[in-house]
Amino acid sequence: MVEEICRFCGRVAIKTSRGYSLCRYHLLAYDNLHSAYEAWKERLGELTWGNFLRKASELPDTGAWVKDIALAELQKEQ
Amino acid sequence: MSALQSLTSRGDYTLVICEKPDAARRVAEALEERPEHYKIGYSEVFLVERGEKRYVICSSLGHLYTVADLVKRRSIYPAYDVEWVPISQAEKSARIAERIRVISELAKKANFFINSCDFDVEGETIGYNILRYACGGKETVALRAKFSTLTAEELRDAIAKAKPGLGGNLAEAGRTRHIVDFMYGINLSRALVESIVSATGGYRTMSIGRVQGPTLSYVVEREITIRNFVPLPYWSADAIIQKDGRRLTANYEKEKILQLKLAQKVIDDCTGKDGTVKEVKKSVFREPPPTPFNLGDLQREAYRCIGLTPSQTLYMAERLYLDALISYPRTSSQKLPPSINYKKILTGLTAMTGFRDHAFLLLSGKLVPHEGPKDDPAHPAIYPTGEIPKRSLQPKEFKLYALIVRRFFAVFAEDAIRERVAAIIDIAGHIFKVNGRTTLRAGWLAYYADFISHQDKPIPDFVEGEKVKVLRVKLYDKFEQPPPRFNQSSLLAKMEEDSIGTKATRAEIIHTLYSRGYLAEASMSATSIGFSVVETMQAHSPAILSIDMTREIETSLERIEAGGIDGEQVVERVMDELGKSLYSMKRAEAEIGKRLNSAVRSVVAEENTLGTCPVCKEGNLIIIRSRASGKRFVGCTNYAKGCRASAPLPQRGIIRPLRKACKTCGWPTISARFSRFPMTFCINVQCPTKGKKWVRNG
Repeated sequence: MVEEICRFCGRVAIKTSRGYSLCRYHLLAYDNLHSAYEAWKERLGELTWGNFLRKASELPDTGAWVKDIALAELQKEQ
Repeated sequence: MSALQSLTSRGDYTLVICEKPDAARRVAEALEERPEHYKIGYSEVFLVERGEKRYVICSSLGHLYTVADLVKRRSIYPAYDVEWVPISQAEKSARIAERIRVISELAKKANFFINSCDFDVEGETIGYNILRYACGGKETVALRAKFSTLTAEELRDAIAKAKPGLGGNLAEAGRTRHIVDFMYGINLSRALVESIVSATGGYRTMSIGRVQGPTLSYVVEREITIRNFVPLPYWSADAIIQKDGRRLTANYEKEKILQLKLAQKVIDDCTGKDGTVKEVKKSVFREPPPTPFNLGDLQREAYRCIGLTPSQTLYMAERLYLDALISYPRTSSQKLPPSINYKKILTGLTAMTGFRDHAFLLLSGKLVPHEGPKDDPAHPAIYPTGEIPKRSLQPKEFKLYALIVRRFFAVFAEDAIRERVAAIIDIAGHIFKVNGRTTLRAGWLAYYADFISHQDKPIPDFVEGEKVKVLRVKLYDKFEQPPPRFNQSSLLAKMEEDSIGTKATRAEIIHTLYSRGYLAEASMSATSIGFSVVETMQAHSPAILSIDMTREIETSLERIEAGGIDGEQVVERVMDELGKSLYSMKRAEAEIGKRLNSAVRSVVAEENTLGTCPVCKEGNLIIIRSRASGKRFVGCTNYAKGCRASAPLPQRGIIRPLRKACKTCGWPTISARFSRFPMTFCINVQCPTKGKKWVRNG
């Protein structure tokens, strides 16, 4: 059986979410990004998913694995 | 007649064994001002006649014996059959071999033996092994000298009062620690190396051990948190007010406002309004002096104040100890017993211009140290001996010495007394605060001023009900920060907090993690190799990453020290645990090797990239090894497209890119490590800075 690998880092994938095969680290990044979107909306009020992704991916303190997911999601948006 | 024969032919003597050559010289000079000095090959030996007694003083070079496996092939694991062998046999060192031969010859004619190595687990182990293997089984009859400084008085006293059994079971605990660490280290490291060999046919030095495992795991876990971090927005606000012609900042009462609409409301409400002083709060508080240095405290403070890494601090502190300027540095204690003679030390320090005034000031009062809770049965906290340096100290070495002296002063000084003032200002129903702080009595801060900043921030006197002019109110967009990466100081503190490793080995473990390529940069990030090693261990030997296992072993070692159990029981348990892990790793060898190798390749590529080429601005400057000459140099990846940027490199030492461009010419800078202290320089041979000497970091 061929192991599925993470689309972003080549580690063994443990789950497929929205078409991505993700390793445990990128899966955590994916979950964090989604829960952060809810927190951002609560703090900022109106905020589209696309604007959130754009802003989050530009912040210097956003984690590298989160940025991987955010940029891939942005591409999907476009 | 050889020097050795002339020494041993003079009749009976007591053989005194010291841990290091400098310590042997100190002991000899403590017993007699001008001891007879013999140079036998690389070894120095001293002869002292004191009354009726004759002492021959020789020295080790740290450990002379090490644990080795009986099966000498590196590719074979598990390796459980171990023995103590001379380090010269394991590492092919002629100096060590000769030193053992000299001690053995001296032992043949000795009628008494004194173990005068440093009084701790390692010193006891060093002395025990020499007495057992080099002196022909004298470990049970030898006397033990106990001292904490190498001052003449204390050494004379320690030799005079040497007695059997002082070390208790320290050596048994020390020897067991070495065997356990060897078994974990050699077996798991071999399993990692062999997995790479089996997957690629190539060799790469890899290691993991009982202390390296949890330490690396801390950094990797932190890295995972940082790489998965999403900053959440928040806001803060402040107001600039005018008072007595001064502009003062008043901060909004909440440091973080978590909703934009609430933050905006604060600004909207306050803009254009003046404020009223609602309350003025004053509180006086005492800041007690710091506690005396143990090794961990000293390493952290030296990193903060002087920028020394923990291993540099330990190295320099040991030199200061061997010069009899400070007490034994490998201590956990934060206590200074009166027996060290505070007055004598301070009186000694009055002879040094920079310390004279403060030493006299302390001597005029009552001397009671502000001690910390940690204790060490073998040694007190680190303190200056009060002796004057007999050689000129290197600048950073002197700073470390001054730090130790200043800290010693501070622990005897009074509390600092400071006042905190907060003026609470109401602006349109919102609360803002102007904070001030002044020092009423400097106390210990005056003695420690070179190493601490305690700037006062006085504010004018506010009166309740007073109106204040608000010049502007401002909102700040902010984002939450990820937890900071570890640095050498904070990682050391974490190891200490979790009782990982010993005070003597922690700094070296961090150094090893860097040299294996598991960690990179001063603010530590785990590399792909670091991640791969942790992932491999999580899958096959999770216990090696867990602090519970290492704590359990530490507890067992303490029980050995206390005489509760013997070392063999601990070793047997370790073998059981290891067997399961090694079996699992052997089965997955090829797969582990493939992953580790891919991580190694990506890190090597990164380590060899120095930065963007300043000539073509497109390619990268990388370290290349010439196939023809085997020499290394720097070249541009755009060579095929015509870029001829290149630079020579030193052919020795470990080179690391600094990821900083030279401020003068813009070419990349590197650090080259030939010794403990790396040199940093720009690689461009035509850089105008080349006329100057390289900068030595240390």
